Amino acid sequence: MSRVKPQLFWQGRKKLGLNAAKLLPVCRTLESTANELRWIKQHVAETPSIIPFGARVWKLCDKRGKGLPLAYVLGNQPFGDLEIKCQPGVLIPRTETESYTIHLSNILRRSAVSSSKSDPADQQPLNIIDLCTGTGCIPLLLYSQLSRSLPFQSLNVVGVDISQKAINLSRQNLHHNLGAHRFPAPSDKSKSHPLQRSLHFLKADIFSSSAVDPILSTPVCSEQCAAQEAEEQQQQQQPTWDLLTSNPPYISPSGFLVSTSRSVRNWEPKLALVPPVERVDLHQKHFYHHYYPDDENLLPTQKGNVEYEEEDVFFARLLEIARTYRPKRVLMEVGDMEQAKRVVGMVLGDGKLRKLYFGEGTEEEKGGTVQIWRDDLVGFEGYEEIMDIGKEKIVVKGHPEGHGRSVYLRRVGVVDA
Amino acid sequence: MLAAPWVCRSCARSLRRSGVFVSLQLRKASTANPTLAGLPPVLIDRARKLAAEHQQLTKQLESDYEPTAAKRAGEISKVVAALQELDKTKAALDELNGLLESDDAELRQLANDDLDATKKHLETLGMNLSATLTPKHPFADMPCLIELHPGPGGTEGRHFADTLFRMYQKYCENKGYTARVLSYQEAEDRTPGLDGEVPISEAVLEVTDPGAFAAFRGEAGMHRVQRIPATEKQGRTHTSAVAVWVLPSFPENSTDAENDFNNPESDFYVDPTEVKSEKMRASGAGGQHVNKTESAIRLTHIPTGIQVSMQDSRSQSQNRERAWRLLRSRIASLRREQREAQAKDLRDSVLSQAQMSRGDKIRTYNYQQDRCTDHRSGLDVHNLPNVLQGGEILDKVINSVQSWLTAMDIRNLIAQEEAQARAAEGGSDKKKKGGK
Ligand SMILES: C[S@@+](CC[C@H](N)C(=O)[O-])C[C@H]1O[C@@H](n2cnc3c(N)ncnc32)[C@H](O)[C@@H]1O
Repeated sequence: MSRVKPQLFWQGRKKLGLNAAKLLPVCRTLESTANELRWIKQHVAETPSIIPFGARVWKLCDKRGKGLPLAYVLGNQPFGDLEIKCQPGVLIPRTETESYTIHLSNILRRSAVSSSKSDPADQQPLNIIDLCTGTGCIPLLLYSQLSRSLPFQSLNVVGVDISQKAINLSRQNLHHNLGAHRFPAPSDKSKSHPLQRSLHFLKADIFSSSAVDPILSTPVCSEQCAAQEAEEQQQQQQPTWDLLTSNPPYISPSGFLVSTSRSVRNWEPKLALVPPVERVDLHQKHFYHHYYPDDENLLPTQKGNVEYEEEDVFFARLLEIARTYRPKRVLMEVGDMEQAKRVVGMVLGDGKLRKLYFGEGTEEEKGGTVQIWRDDLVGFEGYEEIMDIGKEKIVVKGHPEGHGRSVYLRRVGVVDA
Repeated sequence: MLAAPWVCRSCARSLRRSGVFVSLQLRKASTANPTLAGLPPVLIDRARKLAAEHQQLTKQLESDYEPTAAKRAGEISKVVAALQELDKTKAALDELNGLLESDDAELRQLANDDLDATKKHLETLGMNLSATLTPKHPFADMPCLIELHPGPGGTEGRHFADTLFRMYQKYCENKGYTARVLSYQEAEDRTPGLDGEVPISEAVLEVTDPGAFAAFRGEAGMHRVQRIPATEKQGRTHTSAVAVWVLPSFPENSTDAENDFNNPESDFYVDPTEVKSEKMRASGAGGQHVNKTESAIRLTHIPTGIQVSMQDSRSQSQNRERAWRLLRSRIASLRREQREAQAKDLRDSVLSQAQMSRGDKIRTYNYQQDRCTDHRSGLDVHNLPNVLQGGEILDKVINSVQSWLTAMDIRNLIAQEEAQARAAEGGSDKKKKGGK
């Protein structure tokens, strides 16, 4: 990273004042400095305190100038129309995550509206689970968007994380946004209540079956719909999760040193970003066994179609979960187009997942969806590009200049309106 | 062809005050058709045609109901009612006039007593009729965006843009409108101006009430300021300008909006493949790799070159959403302007000269003289501080412009009807000749 030109310094000081001079080294441009200074002042003006305005602004600029990310300095980050509290130790929600979450909620809302139009009596509960939830931003925004526009549907949302800090913060975020009346409160457990809405945050390691299986196998709100679901499951073998989302750690240990920005490296938790080595080793064995049961000792680079890197280990586990619990839709955030392709490769390379989400037979018969979404999807939903992955043609959505950001799976037979 | 919606009564009232009608009467004096309540014959013709159409529709609807016919009948029923009322009053007036010739002195006196009131009433009814005939602006019921752009030439315009911005904000507050700031861009140069003005390079205010577009559309144009700037050392008066654009926008979260955005027929439709999106200084891999705070969004609509950028919010998705709103509104507005330009060709060229284009100065705020003049309505008011505080004097100015706009609409309508009538006549003449 290059040093800021001295000329910029005096320009900044002259035009924006002394506070700005503190921000310039981290903000790097006058424009960005002016924006951050404005946000800091707004924040200070909005939070009452006995300490004088100027002193507080100065203090926050000082902190920010030392490199602390702005969201930690201010203690929050906007996410859709929510305000998500942020604390060191828990990853700051990213704008890319925000973008596809909004898009997802649009998909779910439209589908629910159109299915309830075709059959008003058919008011399916909507069950959503987010693994590796961090601040809880994804389930909170989905809950917020869906509970407002679908008042008559029961909605059950769960967020899971391994870190106690994250779970505490996500619960805090629920109450913070409830307090600001940004969405309706989850309904209490009284059975008489016809509308069920719930939002829970639970601590669990997603690699530990004993911890995570009980959560995954009961995506239910009230006992009433539990009974109904169980019956359904027996009868039609239907999965009960309408959507599984996850933004898991996906950066390789070497990538962490090279491709992350300094502020990420120095201030954000590595646990949230880089899959731990022990896990990689442990799981790799399992994973290779799964794809290549005959040849456990081959190295990944020697394999045929299925490419796999160590930073992909969470995706392997997520797909394993998808195999078992068969959620109707899966959305996984990825680091770049290469990783997106590898994840798609894993889906196509696994017979059961392929059958579930891609389909078999001719183009028309297939009916499932395996897609890659780029950044900058909202407003550019119409953009589509076809990419060859393995022998298959995969749809890539979003503005062509956007990075590959997520992999979206939709089960055969499930339709998005 | 008339668009269905109509101008409200209060506009009709203000129209009378504005006195445009007097000149219309004079202009029309030579036309062959008999005048009614001093209304131009084309308007009466138009109303009679619509009344005939209404009668036919009603008959048709009695035998079999058809929704589009019913809708049309509903739309023109106001005109029919106004015309009937007018005819009735005209008949009453004729009767009174007859009575004035009477031999009975008492009767003459009675008639005389009633005469003035009836004439007045007839005049009002005439206004009503023309108001019902005036096409309402297609965006009239929508919320709007008010955009402020300082004119070229220094800090002074940027300072005054801030004052105008606050003027509209306060005006909305006073009138009970809901206004929210979509964008407020401070200029790089931060020299303070008069009364704590901050120089701004651009600002966008959204007024979310339905009908805000109709209320504010008269504000569009160049606003000129004459005063001694805060930075002026020799005490010279400067003249600067701020461009105000008023664009229609959609209510947030409306299903209409969603429908319109996806409907290629709609003015608000924007083909995303024609839009270039730049996240300013998008760098590196994104996602978990960076926690940048640059949330700015810039959208460029390639066919028209319209460019919008938003960076007010910390949330990129919010900036993106606002940028799309603004882009759609600007494009819709442009399309409407283009259509209007086409319609203008049909009309009298004399009339179209009175139309204001974006570049014309519409109002002057003169600090030394404590005066605000609107160059269209010709209204001249004092107490500039009240104007700049969005007070009742500004309301008076804005109302005078509304009247002026309505009057213009009616003149345009009449001109258009005449042009069409002429074209039709010309056509039938030719036919006759061809027949010989
Ligand atoms: C990249 S962060 C994503 C946070 C949040 N979903 C977001 O989008 O901002 C990954 C999260 O996964 C959690 N995590 C890491 N290992 C985990 C595991 N084995 N089981 C469950 N959560 C885990 C971390 O604590 C961290 O909060």
